[in-house]
Amino acid sequence: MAVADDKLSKLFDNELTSDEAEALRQELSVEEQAKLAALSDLHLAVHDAVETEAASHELDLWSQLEAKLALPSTVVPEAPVIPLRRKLLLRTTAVVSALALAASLLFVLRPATSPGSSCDVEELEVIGSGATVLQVADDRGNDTTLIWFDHQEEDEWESL
Amino acid sequence: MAQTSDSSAKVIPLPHQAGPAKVGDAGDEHRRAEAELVERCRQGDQRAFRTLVERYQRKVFSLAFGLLKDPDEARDISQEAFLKAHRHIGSFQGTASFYTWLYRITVNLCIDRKRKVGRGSEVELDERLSHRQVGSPADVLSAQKLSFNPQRVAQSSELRHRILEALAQLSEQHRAVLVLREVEGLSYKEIADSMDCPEGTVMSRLFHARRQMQQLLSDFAEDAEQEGAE
Repeated sequence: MAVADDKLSKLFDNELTSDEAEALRQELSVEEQAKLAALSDLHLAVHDAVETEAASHELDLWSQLEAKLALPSTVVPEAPVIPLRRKLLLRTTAVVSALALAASLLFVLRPATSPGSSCDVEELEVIGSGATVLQVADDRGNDTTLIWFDHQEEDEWESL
Repeated sequence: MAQTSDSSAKVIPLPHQAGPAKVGDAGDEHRRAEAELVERCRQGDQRAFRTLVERYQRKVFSLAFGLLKDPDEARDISQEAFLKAHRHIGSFQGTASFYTWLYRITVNLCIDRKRKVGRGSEVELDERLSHRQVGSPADVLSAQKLSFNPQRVAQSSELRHRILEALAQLSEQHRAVLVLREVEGLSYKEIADSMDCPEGTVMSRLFHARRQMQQLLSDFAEDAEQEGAE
């Protein structure tokens, strides 16, 4: 029975167990032995051609690799701590100054305060007495006006 | 019809058994030592990484050279592969060997390089080829020996260049499998790990790569005979 080429290849490449290989060797025909010999020729030709040709070139990878591997550790830049602090300080100063200026402007330009609706107070002065008018919100949500009279003695007014 | 061999032909020397020593055959001791080196690399020990570079640089270069055929490109790729390995050694799981991981990086870099320069157009054709049934009548391994003595390859630079030319005509995937097997001596499993594909695909690619090489080199043998006759 003819041995398939894939089995022959496995035999040639030592991919069979020793028992399998031994059993297969018993079956080999002359032609199959010739195929094995041809595979051997090819192996020697390819192996020797590549190995001999590759070996004829000098090779020292480490000297160049060492330089390349050392490169990252030698070029690591130092952290710019001081400039960053200065920059932060300048920025903080600028922000604080701007806020202070804005606060001053708001204080100067703020709208004049007027009596609120919850309690308006006005002072009245008439001859002989003084009054205070108060307008306050009551429990029902309506405004209630209170007038507080402060009576003064005639002689006091006269002295004025 | 194949003939069954007689008892005198029972013991057939398999040339490949005397082929390249497998890197993975070094045993548990080797694996432990390598795992230790990798661990030291992870911790930033450059001397450990240097040991790994010196151990594998020639193999990585041979692989890249076999795939690219250009020594300068092969050197660049080898460097890039080691740099990449160094950068990503933290993500190396350790489920496969370090060298299969390194070979995977190298193969991928080589294939990327080839594609960038627009030489990857033959991949699709060869991929279709590789899915054909192995051993179909139209596609069987040749029983013809090479007409030149393979031992002469080491002495003849012309022979070497003709073989490298034939190798260059394969697709990247087929060439990678063939070089990993014939030059680096990796097992099917290790090649599958290196190329991130199933073992069946490795077998198929290897079969077609060998078949193509036999055809390409048999043409060369005929040419050589004709040249000799002239």
